Amino acid sequence: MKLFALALALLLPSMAAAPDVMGNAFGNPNAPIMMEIFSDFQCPACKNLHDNALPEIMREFVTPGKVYLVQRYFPLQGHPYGMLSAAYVCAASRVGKFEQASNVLFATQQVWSGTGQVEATVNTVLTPIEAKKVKSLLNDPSVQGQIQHDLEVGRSVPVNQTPTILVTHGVRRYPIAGVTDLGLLRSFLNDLLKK
Amino acid sequence: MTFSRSNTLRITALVLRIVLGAVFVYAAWLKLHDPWQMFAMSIDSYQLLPMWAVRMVARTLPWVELLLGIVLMTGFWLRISATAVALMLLVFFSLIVRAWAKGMEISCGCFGPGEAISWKTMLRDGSLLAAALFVAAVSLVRRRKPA
Repeated sequence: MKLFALALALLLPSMAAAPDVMGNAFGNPNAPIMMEIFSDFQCPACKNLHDNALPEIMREFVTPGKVYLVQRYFPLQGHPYGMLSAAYVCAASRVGKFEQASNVLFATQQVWSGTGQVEATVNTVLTPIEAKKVKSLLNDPSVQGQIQHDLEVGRSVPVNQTPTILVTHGVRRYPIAGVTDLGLLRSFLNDLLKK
Repeated sequence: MTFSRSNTLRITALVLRIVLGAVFVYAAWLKLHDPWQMFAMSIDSYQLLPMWAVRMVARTLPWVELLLGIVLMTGFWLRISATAVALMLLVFFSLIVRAWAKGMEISCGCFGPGEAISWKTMLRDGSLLAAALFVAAVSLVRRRKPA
């Protein structure tokens, strides 16, 4: 029983790192650290993380292959357009436009959060053919399935708020809830990399 | 055999101080088990201290908690340790209530990362504070009684 538990504990990180992602993972899948960001496109704190900390994390840790970054969909029930925006970005990821779609949604969050014009906003970064395909993919089981999967992964952490960053290093997992200071996060990641 | 009121108070205080000491040791162990930055991020989320103070508190507070927990359980310097624990819990409880009242959706940081502040957190920390105040009061009153 103990051996089984040990084997499971050793396997868990690799299971978590398994390619259950499509278009929303960045960097080297074999990096020593995996960072999962659970966010809601309508959440202001997620916009803050996306706009301020994420570019630095990408530059310092993801691009050099130190961190494998997975952006997970975690639409909150309290946000009326949370699920719709997640579905549009997930569908856009199927045509290779995850980054563009998420960037434009975060950049104009205040606007579409008021008007509800998620489709029009995402379409600004899509060609007419892509826009048509994205719309047809909205209710595709794989799109809905990926969002549900990410929600389930988040609930198992458990994620209680967005953004939550889950850092996995070896067999240990560190959940970081809310907006965090970039300097502390940088110091934390660098210390983990030294281990 | 009958217990006098003072005996009941003394036994209650003894049980509570051992529980409080164990809680402090457990909370310290959880924080020391994680990289110090994890606790620093929790402290920083309260938006009260400058970054240098956040770093200093994150590195020292778990050791203070550990020391106080051990001292409280052993019963040495009881008056000082019980008062210090009560004051610390008063500060923690005030900060949690402040964060909750301001609608801050942050991690409590009480027992490691990942615990969002809720009414359960306040109930738990409020109970700990009440217990600590009781232990401190009993230790101070006993000290004042003539031998």
